[in-house]
Amino acid sequence: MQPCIYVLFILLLPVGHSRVTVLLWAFCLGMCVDLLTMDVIGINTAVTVALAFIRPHLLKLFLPKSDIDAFIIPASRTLGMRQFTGYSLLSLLFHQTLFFFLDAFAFYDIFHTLLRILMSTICSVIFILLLQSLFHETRKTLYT
Amino acid sequence: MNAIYRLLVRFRVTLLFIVLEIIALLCIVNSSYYQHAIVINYIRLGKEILDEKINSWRYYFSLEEINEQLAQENNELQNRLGYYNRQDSLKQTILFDTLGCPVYSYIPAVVANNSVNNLHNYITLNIGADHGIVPDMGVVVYNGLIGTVVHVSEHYSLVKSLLSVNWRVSAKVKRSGAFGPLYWNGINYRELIMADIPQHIPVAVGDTIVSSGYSAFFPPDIPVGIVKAIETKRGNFYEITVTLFADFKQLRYVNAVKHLYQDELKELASFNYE
Repeated sequence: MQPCIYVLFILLLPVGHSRVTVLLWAFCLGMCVDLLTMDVIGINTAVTVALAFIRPHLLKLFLPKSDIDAFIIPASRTLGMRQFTGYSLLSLLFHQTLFFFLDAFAFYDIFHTLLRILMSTICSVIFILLLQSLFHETRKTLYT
Repeated sequence: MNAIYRLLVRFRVTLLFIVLEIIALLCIVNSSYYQHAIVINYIRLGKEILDEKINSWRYYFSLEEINEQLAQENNELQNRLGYYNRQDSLKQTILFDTLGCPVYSYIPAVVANNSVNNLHNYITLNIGADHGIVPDMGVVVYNGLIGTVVHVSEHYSLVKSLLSVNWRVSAKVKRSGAFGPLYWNGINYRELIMADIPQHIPVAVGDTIVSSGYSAFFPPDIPVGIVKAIETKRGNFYEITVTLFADFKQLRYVNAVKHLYQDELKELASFNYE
């Protein structure tokens, strides 16, 4: 079980960014993470790029129609806590599922792989929400 | 031409996505360990220094535990020494016969980085080529096998941990001497699986598993763990769950083992009969 927090970077890119930019950012981020971990290079890259590719479709589910092209950051204070939780949960589930199947490179011991996916998704989402609430609070105190 | 260009522009996101994914997948397929090592050697050097700093702090806070562990190890060695001394006085002539050169030499090392969370785990040691480490050396502690050295830089070395799926070492049941491969199934870092023990061999829960010494990586008779459960799988063989003595999460002091005649053994094993 490893919390995957770097995904937050991709989640928080502004909605109005062109999809090409988001894909390139995801590639760079994935590469950096891959180079810093000991395992095979490319797993994080492939998974993060895939997440960046489907991100607009995920956002459609959680954003009001009028905001699709607006230049807003899809964080908890703009989306609302409930929407953001759903958004990050779906994204992380997708990310971790791809990650673990690429890591095992086979449908080896499927029950335990599923358990791993579930546990690390939940763990990552908890960490991401904690980080979010941290910034949520600081902004509030800054403005008052 | 214009049509193709327009098509490219229209599907540029999908195309870019496919190109990036292909690059990433090529990376995965091509990153055999050696190339990987060359690319990130420089990055790792910095990371290792950082890891060691962090580790030295962690070490400071766990001194008490380490003291206890050292005392235990000392005790173990004392016991072993006593055993040999006794043997010496009883059968001096036989001991003289077997008293050749030592076959294994040990190099003490400290763990600089460690993981147990992945399907393939690696351990970094703070000694490298400068200290006489070469690839294919075994790494052990007094109560367990740890792994094999796969890559060496000047001051550090990378060890493929025993906690890597599909990575097998030879071990035997201490009581009967029956041997079989010992491997990890990726589930619990305190347990290994031992396979291929025929059913006519008596094995009981609580038996000790020791290293067999059949590969040139590890010396024989290092205690590894005790039998926790015995299952019958695939016909006539037992599949034994072994609880490890060594806690991979708390590793700090380990020994790299050099088999002095490893090359000779390899040469002999690869000798083809004409």
